Formats: sequence, structure tokens, C-alpha cells
Amino acid sequence: MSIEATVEQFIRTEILFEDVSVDLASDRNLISSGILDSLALLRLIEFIESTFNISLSEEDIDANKFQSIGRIKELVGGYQS
Amino acid sequence: MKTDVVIIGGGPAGTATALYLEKEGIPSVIVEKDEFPRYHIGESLTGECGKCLRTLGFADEMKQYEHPVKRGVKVYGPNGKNAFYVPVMTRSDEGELAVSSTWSMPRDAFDKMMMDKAIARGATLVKGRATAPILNENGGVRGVEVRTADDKNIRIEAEVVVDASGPATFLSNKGVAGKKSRGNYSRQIAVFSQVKNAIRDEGPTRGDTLIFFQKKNHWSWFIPLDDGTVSVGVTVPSDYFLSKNESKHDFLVRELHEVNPEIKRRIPEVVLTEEARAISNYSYHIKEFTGDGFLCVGDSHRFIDPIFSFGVYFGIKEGEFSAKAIKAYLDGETRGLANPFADYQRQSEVGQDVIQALIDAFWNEPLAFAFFAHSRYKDDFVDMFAGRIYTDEESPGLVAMKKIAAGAMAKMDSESEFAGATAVAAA
Ligand SMILES: Cc1cc2nc3c(=O)[nH]c(=O)nc-3n(C[C@H](O)[C@H](O)[C@H](O)COP(=O)(O)OP(=O)(O)OC[C@H]3O[C@@H](n4cnc5c(N)ncnc54)[C@H](O)[C@@H]3O)c2cc1C
Repeated sequence: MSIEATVEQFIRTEILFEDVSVDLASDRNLISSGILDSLALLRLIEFIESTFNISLSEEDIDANKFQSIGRIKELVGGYQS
Repeated sequence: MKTDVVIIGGGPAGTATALYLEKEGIPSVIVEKDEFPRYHIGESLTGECGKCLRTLGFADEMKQYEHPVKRGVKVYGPNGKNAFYVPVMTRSDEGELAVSSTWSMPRDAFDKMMMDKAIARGATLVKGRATAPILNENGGVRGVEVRTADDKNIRIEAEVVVDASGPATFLSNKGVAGKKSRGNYSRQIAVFSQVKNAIRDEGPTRGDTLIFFQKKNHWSWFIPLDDGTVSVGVTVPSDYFLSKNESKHDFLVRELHEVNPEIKRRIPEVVLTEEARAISNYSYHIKEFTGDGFLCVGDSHRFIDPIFSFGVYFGIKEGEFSAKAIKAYLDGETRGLANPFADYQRQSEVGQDVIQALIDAFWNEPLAFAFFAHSRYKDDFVDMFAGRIYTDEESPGLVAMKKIAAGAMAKMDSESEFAGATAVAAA
């Protein structure tokens, strides 16, 4: 599964509890739209580290870098290359 | 009057110094201006502070007074949801973390208990106000002049003077210790009082300290003081307080229902059972606080910010360190050095600097802070919150936390320089 699909699936099942009506387009702002509150953001970061087997640097634990699924893909991609 | 050690101030820093000195077999004289018991703010203790109190032999008394047992701190996010919980944990001799507890309590009873014990174990109390240090020809401190409660002027000559005068910062004001500089949280005001009708947790977390967070530098506390009474306070930027143009009482009553939905739920009807009091500009730092014949402990040299309840612990722990340094001095080991208490000063600052970084990171990098504390460096953060902060070897969590704190402070400095430059350009 692609990075985008993996993240989308996590948000859909673990954070939105299967609510399929929410738009998760890759440029949708997850924070200003209220999809991710601070606790959800923490769970997402933990999920990303364990699923993609990466350890984010201090500078990357920054809400802006998790703003949208597209941004998250860029961030994770940077660690995998 | 002549003594080995004279201590200015009988708050927790002063009486702890006397108690640890007594363990070393060194008698002391405490000068205190107020009649105890007296009101004081600062009611919630860290885990390691509880351990110090057990070491000093207070466990039975803390139980007899039925002071609330604190097993952790709950910090609620702005929406009133339970953002995170830091349990009080201790480390065994083998280095394993284990569940533990400490206390919170009204300071009138607590400070009196410590004072009474210090006197019972041999300290002498002089009721009165220290007015001036006694200096020798080289500027070394050799005692203190006191205006007693019954209006006499007396001289107390001593080999060592301990400043434990709290925010009064006696030796700094007299030009003996260094100058006071503003701390990072100096433009804040805390307004506080007590309530009786609050909704507490049931069960083991009933005595926990609760923190309710609204936004940066705007938060409130909820600290159980006995079975019925809870200390409540709101901390905000001073400008915000002034802009409201309200009495302390009205400000506090309104804020307690606006700062966070969870504290409103816990205090459905706010009826203050104590005078509403306020303290502003409480954050300061005196960098040189030891020298020939003197050392400062507790608030008399530094106070950062009340958010994580470290004040009393710093006072008591520095009391412990200062007693060792004074013993070495009186035994002749460090006599003759330009500053016999330089090691004590360095050791005290190691711990204060950890908490400074913890608080800077918390306010300025909340996401990274929460991720570290919750997940990546959970155990290291449990250690820091408890007060295991005097190690020369820095844990990975501390290194990472200092890095984000330093980054945030540098960013703030450059922003304010930028703002300053813009203001100059515009003028
Ligand atoms: C809003 C707020 C909330 C806080 N909450 C907490 C908390 O929850 N937990 C915590 O641990 N800390 C807390 N603190 C910090 C705590 O109050 C202090 O850190 C602690 O009381 C310091 O102890 P101390 O002995 O150094 O000084 P103090 O307790 O202030 O004692 C100093 C003593 O010196 C006496 N004195 C002063 N000048 C003279 C003189 N010239 N001659 C004789 N006597 C003199 C005073 O009368 C006083 O009794 C809080 C602080 C603030 C501002």
C-alpha cells in the first residue's frame, strides 16, 4: 500500500471511527478542519514511526508537517529515500 | 549573638537547610519576620520532594495531618479532554521505575510543621526581620543585623549566612549576591484563592493535582488541600489581567468558568472561601548567588514558573546540598577558596536549568513536548517531572528536550529582535 493510502486508512479507522463521509483528499488541511486534534496527532505520529519504521527528528515533530496527507507523504518519503 | 550558621527566612528552604545541618551536627539560627502559621502559596509537591520529606522524618506527620496523597498530575488540553497524565514514580536502587506518591497541603500548616521540627532538633528561632548583612573588611559576609519583633536591634555574627528569604531576595537587594534579571515568564500574573464545593475524582486519584491549559501562558490549577478544600488559581499575561479591569475576586470567579470547560465542570458554582490574592512578575534569576561567607537557597535566587510545582522541592533539595557545602567549609576543606560554595552553586543550577528547559519546551513546542513525554522518552520525562534532575549524565530525553527548548528560545529572541528593529525603523 502507498504511504498516502496507509495514512488515510489509519485516520479513517482509528481517528474517524470508519466515518466514510469525511473528505480526506491529499491536500485537505487535517488540522484546521479539526480532523486531527492534538491527541490524534500524537497517535498519528506514533503510528507513522512504527509502521514505516522511521524515527522522526526533533525538527520534524511539527504540526505543519502533518497538515495534510500530501505533506505527510513528503515527510515520510524523505526518510525512506 | 554568635553562631556557626544564620539562616534568613523560615520557609521550606530555610527550615530544610536547618534540618539537614542538624543531621551533620551543625546548629543554626533562623531569622523569620512573620508569625507562623501564616498563609503562603505553593501547595503541590513533586515526587522527589515527598522522598526528601520521608528522609527528614515527616512521613508520620504528613499522614496524621491527612494531607491529600498526590499520585500524579493531570494536564487537560483546551477542549477539556484529558490530554496527559504524569504519574508520580520513584526509581529503585536497581533503577526500576515503581509507582509512588507525594502530597499537597496548605502551606500554613506545612511551614509550621517544618519550623517546629527544626526548633525541636536544635535550631534557634529569632523572630524579627533581617535588615543588613554584616561584612568584614574584604566584603565577606559574617552575619546579619536584625530588627526583632519586640523592636530591638541585634547583631548575629556567623561564619556562614544562608539567604532563604524567598522572593524578597535579601542578599541580592543588598548588593551582596548578583543582580536580579527577569525570567522568561516575568510578565505574568497569578490570581488565586480556595473553594470548598469542587468535584474531585473518587478513588486513588482524589488527591491529584490538575492543570487546565487554555493557550500559551494562560492556564489554571486545582490542588486539593484537605478533604473539602481545593486551592484554585489562574495564571495569565499581566496585560490581559489589566485589560479586564476587574477586582481580583471577580477576575478569578469569571476566569474559572472560562479558562477551560473541565474546571468549570468541577466547580459548578464558584464561591471563594479565602481572600483572592495575586502575585505578578514572579519569574527571575540571580546568576551569582554564592560567595565568601554566604549562599542563597530556594526562591532567594531563582524562580522560573509555577506550572510544574517545583518551588518547594528546589528549596528543600538546595537545603540538602547547602548543608553539605557548609559542613565542608566549617571542617576547613573549602576554607580559603575565593568562593567556597561554587560547587553548590553549580549543582543547584544543573537542576534549575533542567526545569527551565522543561517549561520552555512545554510552552513553545507543545507537540514535540507531548510526543516526547507520552511516547518517545516517556521514562526520562517521568524522571524529570519527579525531580530526578541533578545528574551530570543527561538522559536522551533531556538532551532532545533541551534541543527543542533552545531552538524555541532562539526563535523567540530573533523574533523580538526583528520586532525591535521594525519598531526602530518605524520611529
Ligand atoms: C503562583 C504560584 C504558585 C506556586 N505553586 C507552587 C506549587 O504548587 N508547588 C511548589 O512547590 N511551589 C509552588 N510555588 C513556588 C513556591 O511558593 C516557592 O518556590 C517556595 O515557597 C519557596 O520556598 P522558600 O523557602 O525559598 O521561600 P518562601 O517560602 O517564600 O519563604 C521565605 C521566608 O522568608 C521570610 N523573610 C523574607 N525576608 C525576610 C527578612 N528580611 N528577614 C526575615 N525573614 C524574611 C518570609 O517571611 C518567608 O517566611 C508557586 C509560586 C507561585 C508564585
